[in-house]
Amino acid sequence: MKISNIIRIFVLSFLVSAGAMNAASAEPVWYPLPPEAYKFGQRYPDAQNLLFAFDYGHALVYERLLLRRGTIPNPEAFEKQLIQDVLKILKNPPHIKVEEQDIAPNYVFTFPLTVNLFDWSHMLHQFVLDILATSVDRGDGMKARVNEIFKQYKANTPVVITDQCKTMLFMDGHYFSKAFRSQYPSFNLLIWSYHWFQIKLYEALMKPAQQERDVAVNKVTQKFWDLLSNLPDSADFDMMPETAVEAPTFAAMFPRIPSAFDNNHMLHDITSDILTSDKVSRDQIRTEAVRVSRMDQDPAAFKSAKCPADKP
Amino acid sequence: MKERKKIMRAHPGFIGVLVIMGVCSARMARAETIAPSAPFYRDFTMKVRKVANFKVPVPGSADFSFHYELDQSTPLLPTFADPLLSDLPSVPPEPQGYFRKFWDKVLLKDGSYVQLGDQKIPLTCIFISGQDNRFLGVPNPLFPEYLIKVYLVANDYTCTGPVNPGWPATGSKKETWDTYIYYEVRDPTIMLPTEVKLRYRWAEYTGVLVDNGGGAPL
Repeated sequence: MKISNIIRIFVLSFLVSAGAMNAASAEPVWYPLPPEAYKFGQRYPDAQNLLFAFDYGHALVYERLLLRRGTIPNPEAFEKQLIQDVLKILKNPPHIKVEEQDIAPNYVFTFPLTVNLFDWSHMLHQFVLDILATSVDRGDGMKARVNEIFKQYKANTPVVITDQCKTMLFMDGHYFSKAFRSQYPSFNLLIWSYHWFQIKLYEALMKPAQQERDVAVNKVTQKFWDLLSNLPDSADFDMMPETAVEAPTFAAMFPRIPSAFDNNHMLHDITSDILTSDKVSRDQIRTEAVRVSRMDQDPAAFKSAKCPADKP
Repeated sequence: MKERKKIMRAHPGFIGVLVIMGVCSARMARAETIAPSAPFYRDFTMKVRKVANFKVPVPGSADFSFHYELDQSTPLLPTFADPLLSDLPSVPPEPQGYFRKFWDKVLLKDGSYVQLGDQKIPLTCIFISGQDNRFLGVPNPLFPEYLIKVYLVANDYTCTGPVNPGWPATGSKKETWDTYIYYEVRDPTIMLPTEVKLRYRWAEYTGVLVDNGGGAPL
């Protein structure tokens, strides 16, 4: 073989592999990780560990609802036990990102698309926090960096949750809707408190000065514990907290991201409902999970006419 | 001074040796000031979950469930009065620092067991083979600070293993334990079992944790 041919093959294979590296992957693996990845936790370890504990808490409730499906004689006692177990984890949270597969292998196996969407979306949540916590430039530079990450997120189309605003009917308009909320009201408020905490962190990190950000993150963390202090009374949410409402400064700078987060949070509630409602048979769980996950990806499904980001 | 120069000329590796000794002693000093002593690692052994349920997923059939209950007793004396430690320097491209390896053996109280189908087999000891990564200087929540490999050993009241210490001179197999539950813990705050494996009479099966609440047998 001529040397020129060898070089040509080498260049071709390099281009193919480089193309593959740039192409978005269907697997929820963010590679290479952004340089800011998990830097939020270095500045705010308590808040970061709480976020890891939320992942644990979400996975645990899904796993138990699935394992105990149809065999929960006393929902009140079940909820009490669940809250007790999750509070233990929140008060003594993991210091590493725990694989959902290790906590909830049955749930992960039954909800593959939903889990893919959550995983990918949670990485966006995390990296936005990381950028907001570490960016020295608090203006255009930070904005550009977040938008760059958002663009990378959206490039992985097979597992992207749409950033189009959806109405609350997406969460509450199904034949199985609100089952979890009505059977386990305290735990539902705990989950909404998780979501409130996540959203409020974005707003806290929008403060211009480092000291202000530190104070704001501490305040949000303290308020989160207040919300949990005497459930259900302590968390006074009538509806799922929305990003644009709770984090207006963040929403003004990044108008498309709030909907992406809210759509993720709604899918969490929908998953809880599917697992709780006796209107969904065991055989239907997989199908329903895929159906609603596809809706979460579809910008046309339950599209809201009142999306601030759509205004010219 | 002249004499000193003479020695250095006579021993060209002298400075190099001094540098290496300096680096080693600095590293050891760091280990002494930062790294905890052996009893610190015993805590992990005592925190191993006392009850857990697992299953081996089986396609097209009912999964095989198993669970254990245990209660820690005393360390295996005299070797494991305290856990054993060994510090290993990292090798590039890994970050500069060192890994701390630790090992521990604690006997279990009578009544500890693993339930496999209708068999209740006595669990006799815990063997821990762990690694403390904190001295590598890479704070990253995707890279665990600790990796704790847990062996819950059945049927061996001497806790001799995992390798036959005199093998092959002492005959038989290289490994000693024919039945145990193995898992890895990556965060001692939650002691969550991951990478579960069941070895039953030398045959091995991959398992997953089943947390249905309360740790009660399924």
